[in-house]
Amino acid sequence: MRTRSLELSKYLYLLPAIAFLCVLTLYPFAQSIIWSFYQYDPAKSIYKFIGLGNFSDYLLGDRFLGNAVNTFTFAFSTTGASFLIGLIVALVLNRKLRGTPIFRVILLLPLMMAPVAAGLFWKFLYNADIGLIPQLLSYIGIPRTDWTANPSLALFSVVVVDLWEWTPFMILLLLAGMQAIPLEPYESARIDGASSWQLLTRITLPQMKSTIAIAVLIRFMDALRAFDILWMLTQGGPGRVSETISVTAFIYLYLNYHVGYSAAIAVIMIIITTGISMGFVRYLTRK
Amino acid sequence: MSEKKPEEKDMSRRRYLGMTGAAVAGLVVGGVLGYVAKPTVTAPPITSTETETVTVTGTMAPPPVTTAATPYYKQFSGQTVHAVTHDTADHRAVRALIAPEFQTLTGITIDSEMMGDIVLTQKIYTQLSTGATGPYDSGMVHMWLLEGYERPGWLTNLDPLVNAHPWEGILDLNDYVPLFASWCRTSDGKLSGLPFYGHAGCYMYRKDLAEKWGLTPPKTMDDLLAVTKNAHEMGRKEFGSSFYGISMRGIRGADNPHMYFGWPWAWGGRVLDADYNVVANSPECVQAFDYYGKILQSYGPSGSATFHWPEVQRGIMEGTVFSILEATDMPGSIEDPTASKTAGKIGYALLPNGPANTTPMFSYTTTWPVFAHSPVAEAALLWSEYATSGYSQKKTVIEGNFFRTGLTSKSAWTACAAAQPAKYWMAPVLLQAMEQTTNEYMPKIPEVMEIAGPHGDAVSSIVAGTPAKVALDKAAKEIYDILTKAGYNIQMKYPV
Repeated sequence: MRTRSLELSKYLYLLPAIAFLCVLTLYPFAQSIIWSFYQYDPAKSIYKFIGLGNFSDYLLGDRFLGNAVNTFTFAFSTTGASFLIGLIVALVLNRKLRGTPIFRVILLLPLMMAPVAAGLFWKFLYNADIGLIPQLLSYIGIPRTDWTANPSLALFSVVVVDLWEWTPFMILLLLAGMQAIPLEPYESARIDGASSWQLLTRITLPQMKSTIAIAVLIRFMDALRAFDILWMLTQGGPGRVSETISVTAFIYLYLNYHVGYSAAIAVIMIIITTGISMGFVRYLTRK
Repeated sequence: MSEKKPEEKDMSRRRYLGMTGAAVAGLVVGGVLGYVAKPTVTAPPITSTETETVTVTGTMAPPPVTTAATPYYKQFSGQTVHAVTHDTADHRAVRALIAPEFQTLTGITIDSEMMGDIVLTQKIYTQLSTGATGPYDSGMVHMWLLEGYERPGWLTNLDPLVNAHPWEGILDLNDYVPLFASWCRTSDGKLSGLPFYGHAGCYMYRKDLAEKWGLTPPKTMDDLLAVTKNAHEMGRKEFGSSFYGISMRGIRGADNPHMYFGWPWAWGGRVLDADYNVVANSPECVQAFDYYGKILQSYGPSGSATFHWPEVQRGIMEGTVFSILEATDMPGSIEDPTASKTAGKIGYALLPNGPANTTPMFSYTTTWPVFAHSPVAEAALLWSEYATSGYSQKKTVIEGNFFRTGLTSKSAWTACAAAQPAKYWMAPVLLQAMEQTTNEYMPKIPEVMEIAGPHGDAVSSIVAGTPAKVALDKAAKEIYDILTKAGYNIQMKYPV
C-alpha cells in the first residue's frame, strides 16, 4: 500500500518541470488568449474589452482567405513533398550501401543552418542575374527570373527552401522507423515470393504507421506556423501572394503594434493547428 | 501481481535528491563559468585595418569655452546616459571620436549600445509602451514614428530645455538642414528630437556611360522614360542581358512610406488630403504608380518587387544598372572604391519633374529624442545636442576621415565640401535636392505606419504586374477602414 508521502513525492518530482512549463509556456499562452479579447494598443493607451471583435475582424476581413490559402498550400505541399522525398531517401539509406554514413552527415547539413541564414543564402541563389538556379534553368531554355519576386513562383520558392531545410529531419525519423522493423517478416515474405513493392506496401509502411504519423504531424504543425523562412525570402510579397497567417500576426504585432489583434490571429492559428493535428492523428492511428 | 523487471525499480528518494542536487549544482557552476568567461562588450577599436579608418587629417577648433563658473553642461557630471543607436558607420564614428571628447568636457559617461534597425525599434517600443524606466535614456527613432511616440507622452519636449539652456557653439537649430529639422517637430510643433542623419532623393546614373551613349540626366518623367529605355537597350547590347536601365524599390510593407507616399506628388497625387480623406486611389496616384510599375517591369531587374534599398544600391555599385532614384546618403557607399565597382563613375542630378511640375518627394531622417521617463533627461539631451551638432559632424569627417553623406548640418556640408572637395564634389546637387523637398507628403499621424502597410503592399503588387487601379483601390479601402476604426471622420474621395 502506497503511503501518502509517496503519492505526494510523485508530484514533487514533477514540480520543476511544471513550474518551467507554467512560466515559459502556459502564462504567455494564457496572456495571449486574454489579450485576444481586447483592443490593446499601447501607443494609444487603449485596453478595452471587445469580446470576439478581433476574431471577427480578421476572419471576415479581406486578408484571412488569402492568408489561409497560402498557409495551407505551403503546409500541405511542403509536408507532402518532404514525406515522399524523405521516404525514398530513407529507403535508399536503409539498404546500407557504401558511403551511407557520409551521406547521412551531408544530408543533415541543411538542418544545421539557421533559417535566417538559409533564407539569405537562397535569396542569392534565386537572384535572376547572379543566382545559380536561374542560371541552370536558362541552360534548358527557361528564361531567367527572380523567383521570389514572381507572383506565380514566390510561394513555391519558399516551399523549395523549406523542403531543402527540413526534409533531412523527415529522413531521420523515417529511417529510424524503418530500422526498428524486425527482419523476420521480410524474410518470410521473400520466401513467399513477395516483390519489393509488396514488401514496401504490405510490411514497411504498415509497420511504420505510427512513425509516419509522428513525422508528418510534426512537420505539418511546423509548416503551418512557418515564419522565418517566409520573412527572409519574400516578407509575404510581392504584394501579399506569399503572406501567411503567421506573417500577418507578425506585421500586426511588430509593425502596427496592435497587440490584441495579433493575439487573436495567433489564437486562430492555434485552433486551426490543434484541430487539424488532432483529426490527423486520429485518422492515422485508427485501427 | 507480476514482478517488476530490474529496470522498472522505483527510484529511491535519496537517489532523486542526489540527482536533482547534481543538476542544480551543474547549472550554478555553468552559470558562474559563463559569467566569468563572458567577453566584456566594448566599443570596437577603430584601426587602420578596418573599414572605419581614423586618420587625423587636421585639427578642428574645439567648442567655445564658456566663461561661466559652472557651465550648464558640467552640472550633470557623474551621470551616465544609456543611448541605443543603429549599428552604422556614422554612429561608430560618433562613438569613437565624439563620445570621449564629450565625456571629458562634461563628466557625463556615455554608454552607447548599437543594434540593427528592427531590433532597435522593437526594443525602444517595448520599453516605452510598457512604461519601463530603463535601460535606455535616448535612442534613434525613425521620423515617421515620432508622432506616434510623442502623443502618449513617451518623449521629452525639448523646446523648454533647449530654450532655457542654449549651448553656444554646439546647438544651433537654424544650422540643421530645414528638411531634417522639420521631421523632428511633431504636428503640434513640439521639438521631439534632433536630426542625426538624413537624406532626400536624387537621380544617380552612370555618367561615363551617359557620355558614351549621348544621354543627359532627365528633367521630366517623360525624359526619364526615354533615357532609361535608351540606356537599357544600349547597355544590353554592350553588357548582355544582366544590365538594366533603372532600379528602384518595390518591396511590400510599411518600410518605405518616405518614398512610396512621396512618389505620386510629382503627378499631384497624395495618400491623404489635408482633411485626412483617403485619396490614395485618385487618378493622379493611379497614373503615378502605373508609371512606376511599367518603368520597372520594362527596364528594371526582375526581382524589383522584392527590392529594398540595399538591392537597389548594390545594382549601381556592381555596375549592372544604369540609374537609380534613391537616397542622397548613398554616395558614401557608392563612391567607396573598396566596395563599389563604379566609384568615380556616378553622376548626381535632381529627381525629374512629373506632370504636376514638381519632383516626387523622398526624404528620411533619423531623429534622436530623449525618452520622457529618463531620470537623466538633461544629460541625455546634452549628449544628443553634442552628437548631432554641426561641430561633431564636421569633426568626424574632417578629423576622422569618415565619408558621411547623411549629414544634417548645413555648416557641416559646407565645411566638408571645402575641406574634402574630391569626396564632396556632389554636395551642391545633394543640398539642392534637400532644399526642394518638403515633408508635407507624409501624414503626421500615429497611424502612418499602419496605412503604409497596405499602400506598400499595393506598390509591390503593381511592380509585380497588378494593374495600378486595382491595387490602389484595394489599398485605399484598407486605409479608409484603418483610419475610420481609429476614429477619424473621413471619406473615401474615390469610392471603390
